[in-house]
Amino acid sequence: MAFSTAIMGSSDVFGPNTGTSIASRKEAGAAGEKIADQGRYGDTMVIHASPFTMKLLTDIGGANTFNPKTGMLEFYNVDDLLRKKVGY
Amino acid sequence: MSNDLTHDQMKRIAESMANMGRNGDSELVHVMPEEVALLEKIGAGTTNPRTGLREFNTTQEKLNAALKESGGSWTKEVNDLAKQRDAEKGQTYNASTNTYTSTNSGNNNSGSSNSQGDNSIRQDLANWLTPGDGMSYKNGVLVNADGSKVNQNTSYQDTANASTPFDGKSYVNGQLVNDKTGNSVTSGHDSIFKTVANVVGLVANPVAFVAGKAINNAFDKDGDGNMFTTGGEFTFFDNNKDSSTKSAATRAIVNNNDDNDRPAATTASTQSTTDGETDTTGASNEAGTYSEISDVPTYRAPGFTSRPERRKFVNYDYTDGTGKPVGTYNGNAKPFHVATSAESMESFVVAETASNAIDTMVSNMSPEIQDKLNGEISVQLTADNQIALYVGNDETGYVEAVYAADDTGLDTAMTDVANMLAYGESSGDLNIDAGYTGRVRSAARFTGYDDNTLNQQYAMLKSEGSNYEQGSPLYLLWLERVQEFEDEIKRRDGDPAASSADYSVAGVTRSVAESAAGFFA
Repeated sequence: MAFSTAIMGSSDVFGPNTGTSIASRKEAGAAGEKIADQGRYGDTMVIHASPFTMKLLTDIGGANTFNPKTGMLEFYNVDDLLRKKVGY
Repeated sequence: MSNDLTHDQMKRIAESMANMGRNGDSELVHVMPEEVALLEKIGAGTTNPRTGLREFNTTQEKLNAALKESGGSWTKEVNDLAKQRDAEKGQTYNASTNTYTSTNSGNNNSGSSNSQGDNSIRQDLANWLTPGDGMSYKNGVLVNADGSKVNQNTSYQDTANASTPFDGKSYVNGQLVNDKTGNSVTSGHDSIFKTVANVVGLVANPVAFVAGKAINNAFDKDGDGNMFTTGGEFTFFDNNKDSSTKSAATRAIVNNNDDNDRPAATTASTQSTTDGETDTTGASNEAGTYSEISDVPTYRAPGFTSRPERRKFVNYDYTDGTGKPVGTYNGNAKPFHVATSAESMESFVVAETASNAIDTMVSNMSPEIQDKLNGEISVQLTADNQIALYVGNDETGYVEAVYAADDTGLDTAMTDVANMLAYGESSGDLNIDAGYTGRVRSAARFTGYDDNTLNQQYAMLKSEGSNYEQGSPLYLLWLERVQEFEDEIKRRDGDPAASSADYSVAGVTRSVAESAAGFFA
């Protein structure tokens, strides 16, 4: 599981009194972990993203395709992957 | 929580979590750790309190969200965010004069993410992430430590450069430029048949299989690198056996506008004598004659014609299996416009002009080559106002490639004809059948690949297949590459499949698609 514990597991991530119960947050965290597991071609994390962030990810070479398992957008780096795998 | 969630459950959870985004975060997305590291460099990374996932809102997005929440009122939160945004931009707002003043000195934007005046955010991110790699973006250009430009070509662009070495254009630092002038040009490489708007096979009844797809209209409007418009010549190198023994053929592109330019057809072979006179010999029952004209090309090519009987095409069907003729086609199984293209003076003139030009090009080939040339190449103006190039023979069928009905369309069609003849002359492949356009395209694509290189790269490519998930975009791209290699191997092996209309349709479609999409360029 490549999802960082620094992001998912520690209390300082959630910060003080977020208004959401610890149980709910843990459940959401576990769900996030499951979803992150479905990433492919190097996508090992999930984040919240605005249209601006998504454009930025696309600009830096992100695929901007749909993950078939989760239906979410994915931004693995197409060019790097192609270079590595196909040898072009 | 169950360990085995179905895809549906996964999607619902993802949707639910995406709804927990704030300040404009509307999506939950898969990313690579390296991308998160880049986003963190912006400095805006925070953690969503409800999901524990990272979020990367800009101050402007937070400001927009705060304004929305306050109903447009200028609250303290809104005011603080506005000040923060202005500080990030390196400017302060003067309420009394209603103006912004820059706080930057020179190009140093303290507090701004854009530390190089003309760099994009992405470029600044790259500078921050890789400070010791010997390269950096300056004023929007990636330069080495010594200030020289870094080659920023993508893998596709490098491949395109390697596969189209003679088209007068190259990708340099990610930009397509004219080789001679260095000026930027607007269209892709002049790969053969790249300007085809549609390609379709015609086969004899009742066989029907595949139709080509219209993908592109990527015409080279400015004509840069177009050897026809510059009056140059097209050189076709055929390296299909061994790079050390590669041969080259050059075929001048001809586009006669005057019927008088057409050389007289003759059945005699002609040789120039050393004193400039022409010795015409070989005609049965005809004595040798002399002419004062020493350089008139002679057209013979008994097995070749550029003037097919158009009406015979009605005996053929479009190769329409599941694909449908699109664009200018009306969906009829018959090539209707060919049958009617001789009905107007204009269509007659276009067809005749093109035939004259083709005959002139053929007549410039050696008599031996002309003798072996078999098949048909013709250009017609169709009833629906398109330039159509027909290549093939009665046995295997024909391939129809469609170009725009203007000067550019005719020019590029004639350029492709010149390419085909140059290929035939250099490779010895002189049987113009339905697969000919595909073979020409494939030979051009794999120029520079000797058999060993081709086989090695093919084997390497095949071994990569297991890395891709079936049906994924990369898998399909991989499959396309594999088919491209296999088609070239068929051409070199003389496989009968390389004589079929669908072989040409697949090849030309690939050529057009590559020019149009530029892949990941």
